[in-house]
Formats: sequence, C-alpha cells, structure tokens
Amino acid sequence: MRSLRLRRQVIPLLLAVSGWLVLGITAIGGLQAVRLLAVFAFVLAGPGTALVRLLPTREFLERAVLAVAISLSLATLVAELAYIGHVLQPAAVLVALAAVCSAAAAVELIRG
Amino acid sequence: MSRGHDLVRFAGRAPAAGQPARAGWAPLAGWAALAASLILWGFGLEGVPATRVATSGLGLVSVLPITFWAALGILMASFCWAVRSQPGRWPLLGAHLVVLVAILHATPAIVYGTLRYSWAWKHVGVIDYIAHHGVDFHLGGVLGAYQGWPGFFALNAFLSTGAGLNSALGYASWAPVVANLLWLGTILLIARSFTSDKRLAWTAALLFELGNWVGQDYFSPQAFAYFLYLTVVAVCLRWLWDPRTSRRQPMPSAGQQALPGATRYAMLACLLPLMLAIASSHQLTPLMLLAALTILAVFRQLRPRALPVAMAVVAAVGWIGYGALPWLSANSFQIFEGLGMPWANTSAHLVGQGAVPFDQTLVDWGARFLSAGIGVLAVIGFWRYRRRHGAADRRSWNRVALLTIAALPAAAASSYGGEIIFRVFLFALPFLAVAAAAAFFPHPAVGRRGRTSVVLLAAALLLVAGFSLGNYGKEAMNYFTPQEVAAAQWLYRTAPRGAQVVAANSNFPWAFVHYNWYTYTFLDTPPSLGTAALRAPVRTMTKIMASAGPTASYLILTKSQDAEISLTGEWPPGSFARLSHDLVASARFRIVYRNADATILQLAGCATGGGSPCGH
Repeated sequence: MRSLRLRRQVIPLLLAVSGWLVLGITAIGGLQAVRLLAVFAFVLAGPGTALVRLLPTREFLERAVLAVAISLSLATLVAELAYIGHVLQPAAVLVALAAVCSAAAAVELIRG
Repeated sequence: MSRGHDLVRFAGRAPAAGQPARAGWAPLAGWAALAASLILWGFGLEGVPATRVATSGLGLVSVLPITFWAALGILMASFCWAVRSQPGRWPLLGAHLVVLVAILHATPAIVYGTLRYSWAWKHVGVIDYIAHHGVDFHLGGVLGAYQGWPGFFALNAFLSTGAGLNSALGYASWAPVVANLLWLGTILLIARSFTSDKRLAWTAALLFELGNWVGQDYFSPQAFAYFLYLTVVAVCLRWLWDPRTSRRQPMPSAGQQALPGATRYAMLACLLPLMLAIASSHQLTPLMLLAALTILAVFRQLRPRALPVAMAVVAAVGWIGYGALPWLSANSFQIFEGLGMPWANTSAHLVGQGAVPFDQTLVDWGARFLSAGIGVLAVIGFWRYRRRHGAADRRSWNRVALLTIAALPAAAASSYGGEIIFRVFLFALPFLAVAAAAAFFPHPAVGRRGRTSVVLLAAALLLVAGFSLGNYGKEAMNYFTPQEVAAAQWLYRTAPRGAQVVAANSNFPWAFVHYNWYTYTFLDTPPSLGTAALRAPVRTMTKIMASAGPTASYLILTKSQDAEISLTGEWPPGSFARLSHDLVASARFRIVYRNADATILQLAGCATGGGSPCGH
C-alpha cells in the first residue's frame, strides 16, 4: 500500500520540480543540445500534464492532446504578457510556467 | 480504475464483441510492412537531386525516386489491411499514421535542407524582432498585423531564446511534421466522438492526412491556432455534448453518457487558455471557432449551451479591444473589401489557365480532384451512416454536417488575401474526413470483408496522387536553393539599416532578420509596377531604386522569383530572364553579389553598404 502511494506521488513530484530543473539547465549555459530538448519538452507538455492530471479524464490520447494544447496555450499567453511588457528574458516566462506546473502538482499531492 | 486498465481501454486490445482475437503472424506482417516502408523511404531519400526541383515541371513529384512511391504504396496497403482486420491494435495503426506524416512532411525538410515557403522566412524575422524588441501594438507598417496578433511569434521568441538558439530557423523546417502530428491526435479524438468503431476513426485520420494538401502546416500562426481550434472542438464534441438534450431523449449506441456538471465545467475551464491563445495568435481562427460553436449551440448540441460561445466571443472581442484595434483601425478597408462577395472571394486565388504551363494545370486539377474526391466520399459516407443507424446515433452524426457547414460562411466574408477557399476547405476537412471514412465503414457490422480493404486502398492511392500533385507540385517556387539562401544571407549581412530591398516578388528567403530595418518594394505590388518594369526595365528600375534617396537600394533577383512568375503565369514567358539580362547589361547597374541562382544589383555609383547618394 505504501509503495503504491509512493508510486502515485512520483509523477507529481517530478512535475513539481521539472520547470525549475529546466530553468537550472538554462542558467548553467553550455549543454546546448540538452538545453534545447529540456526547454522544448517542458514547454510542450510540462504545465499541461500537471493540470490535466487534475481533470477527470481517463484515456491516454485525451490526456496527451489536452496536455500539449494547455501547455502551449499557457506558454503563449505568458510569453505574450512578457513581450508586451518588454520583459525580454526567457527566464521570466520559464519561472511563471514552472510555478504553474509546481502549483498543479502540489494540488494533486495534497488531494492524494 | 487503474491506469493500466485505462491504457488497455484506449488501446482496445480486448477483442470487440463478435470479433475473434487475432494473433500470430498478422500483427508481425503489419510491423514488417511498416519497417519495409521506412527502409525504402530512407534509401529513396539518398541522393535525391534537390536542385532539379526548381526546374522540374511537377516540382518534388518529378524528382522523387520509385522507392519513395513504393514506400508509400506499401504503407497504404498495410494500413488498409490492418485497419479492417486489426482495428484494436493502436500501436500498429498509430505507427502507420506517424510514418505517413514523416514520409509526406519530413521529405521536403530532409531533401531540401533549407526552409520551404517564403512566408515561413518572414515569420522567422517577426520572431527575431519580437525577441529583441518586444510587442508594440501601435507599431504599424509591415509589422503591424503581427504585433496585433503576436501569440505564435511570442511563443517562438521565448522558445528560441530560452533554448539558446540565435534564430527560429534552426527548427522551423520541421514545423509541418510537428503540426501534422499534433493535428493527428485531435482528429482521432474528434472521430471517436462520433463512433465507437475504431476502423472509422483510424480511416478518418488517414483521409484527413491525405486530403490536407493545402500547405497550411508550415511554420505559421494558422498551423498553431488550428491545433488549438481542433482541440476546443474535440472537447466540445466529447465532453460538452449531452445525449439527453434531445426531445425524445434516446441514448446513443456509441457509448456516450451524460457527464456530471462538475466535469463539464472543469473541461470548459480548460478551454479558456486555448481560446485566449487562439484569439491572440491568428485573425481568422477565432471567427471559425465562433462559427463552429455557434452552430452547435443553435442546434442544441452543446451543454452548457451558451457559455462556450460566450467565452469564445469574450476572448475574440476582448483581444481585439486590447491588442488588435490599432491595426484593425488602420486597415479596415482590407477586412471589409470582400464582404458579401463569396464568388469573388473564392475565385480570387484560382490560377488563370491561359499562360500557365501544362504541368501546373495538371497540378491544379490534381488538387481539385482530391478536394472533390474527399467531398464525394463524405456525401456517400454521411448517407451510408445515416441509413444504417438509429435516431440517437443519427442525432450525434448530424454534428459532422453542422461543423462542415460552419466553415462555409467565411467565404462570403472576406477573400483573406485570395486564400479563403483553401482556409474554408482546411476547416471543413476534419469533418469531411470523418464522413468520408463512413463510406467504407458505415456500421460496425459492415466492411469486414477483404474487398473493403481493396476499395479503401484504391481510394487511398488516388488521394496520395492528388496530395502529391497539390502539395509538392509547386515546389519549384516553394523550394529555395542553398545558393539563394547564401545570397539572402549576404544581403542582410551587408545592407545597412534603412536600405530599400527591391525584388520581382516576395518569393525568396526574405526578412528573416532585422525585419524592421528595411523597406521592401516588389514589382507585383501593384502589378502595374511589373508592367512598367517589363516595358522599360532600366528606366523603371532606376526610378524605383533611386527613390530610396541617399540610403542604399538593393535589387535581388532569384530563381524562385522566376519560378513563381512562371508557375502563376503572372508575366509572359521569358520576361524575368529578359529583365535580368537588360539590368545586368546596363551601365546604370552593377552586380554586387552573384551566384548560380541569385543576383544582387545596386545602382552604379552607389557604395556597397550605402551611405552615399546613388542613382543620380
């Protein structure tokens, strides 16, 4: 029972730290290929996956499509706000997306 | 319910009622065919003479080797056999569709090595501008429209700078592959909203991919917004449809149950960021979304009925009021010029058949037959499905027709730069594809014999031919050789801020950097400029280039500009070559850059890099 509970917590925990991990990779510099993959993968699916896990959807395809659509929409809106406000630092957008991702994962963890 | 069980339910591995479990060699044969198709495709791409695309009558179709077509043929045969005999094996059928997307859309990126479509180059430039300067709704000029709907560009500015890239050019070539993979998932969701017959859903996805010849999947806001549009529609069809809203309250056999209100509102909340992203990314897509949601609401196919429509209206109008109004106020004439003229709008981009080469007439008719073929199959499928299902299923099925019709009014509203007919087709295509799939699988009890696979294969091969002509047939103008790219890179490295760039048309790798530094003059805008240039080349071009005053002025002439003129029949045959020859031979001009596919000229007496008065 305990191992099952731990297993259920692994994915939300990974999602909670994923954005901050990507932010760390971009801050380190170098590792160009890793950085590119990390940023694209997180923006494509990170925040959306964390949010979709809170929804009463069951099927893999439903979850996958919604996760990507929500992730890209949120990234678009946050990036727009940043560039409209002439905040030209991608780190600012990443911080906002990482915060959304962590908050959604935290809700899932609290719900149990 | 465990997650493992969920996956099995999605995968449909458990045999359907009355259908024996299949095992043994059958799935292995499917995977073997898939591997053979991939190997043939991979070998076929070795040594494809990309440079011949520019001079071949049918574009990429003329230069692709027999192994490429064999790979597509094997893939189609394997899919048509597997979709009938093993519809529950989702990894196999999903892999077939992924490989189909790769073959159809990765081939140009791999063969060319340069970014396809001149518009995509310009979009890279807009992203470069926003990454360095941010968004300014009041900017106006050539960048005004992009500043008014900056969503896609802001996303890519963030992505490229966040990933440590200098420009979006590094990944823009792969946009068609990514876009089609994203669309594929939503099409499957949409198709499965109408039926529990997996054969119909897989076939709809295949027909969508083969029918989508219009080339709107390139690196662009419309491709991005279309994915979000399809997702919103899929959510409305799957979660915001209530079978109990019918007057007779029948329950459909597709396994759809009324969802609890909390679930509906949770799903509705998810749509808000999607609607806002659509509204701020593209001009046309919010209107198409509004039309689709409105028609579903009017015919009582949404629950809650008005809230999704209201959300779409608030998102679209709210964004216009916030960000797009400055551009709309300054360009209202462009928006309303085609209002109430559906015939003029839909025929605005049709190619005149008089001066167009025979190959291009073939290409145009190939695309038209493909579109008509999808339409005819859709009518047959719609009728066959309705004939074989009860009232409850027919009510669900009616949404296919409603969503197809929803795209049509746009044709009466605007010509959208002559492209509205293609956009209307694109927005109707998902639902046409679902209806067309029902021509082969109208009912779970129908289409179980081998001949259905044979008929589907014949249709798929015809559609492949139509797609290839429609999508690859104009590659002489969509493909830019490495020499053309090198010339453009030299131009943008050399031309000083404030310079004028002149060209026969905008069909070359342009504006991908420092978009706001230059003014552009194209001889096809207005067309009378081109007519004057052909009548008196040296005098007209001297006048145009001298109009830049003391700043530098560059004339770039490329093979792809010539190809566009030739393919569209815009100028009489040989005109571009004569214009180039006369200017190069004239003492009024000097060549500042030249390679096999591009020439860049300046007025004689003008220092490269500008700074001195020239042309006088």
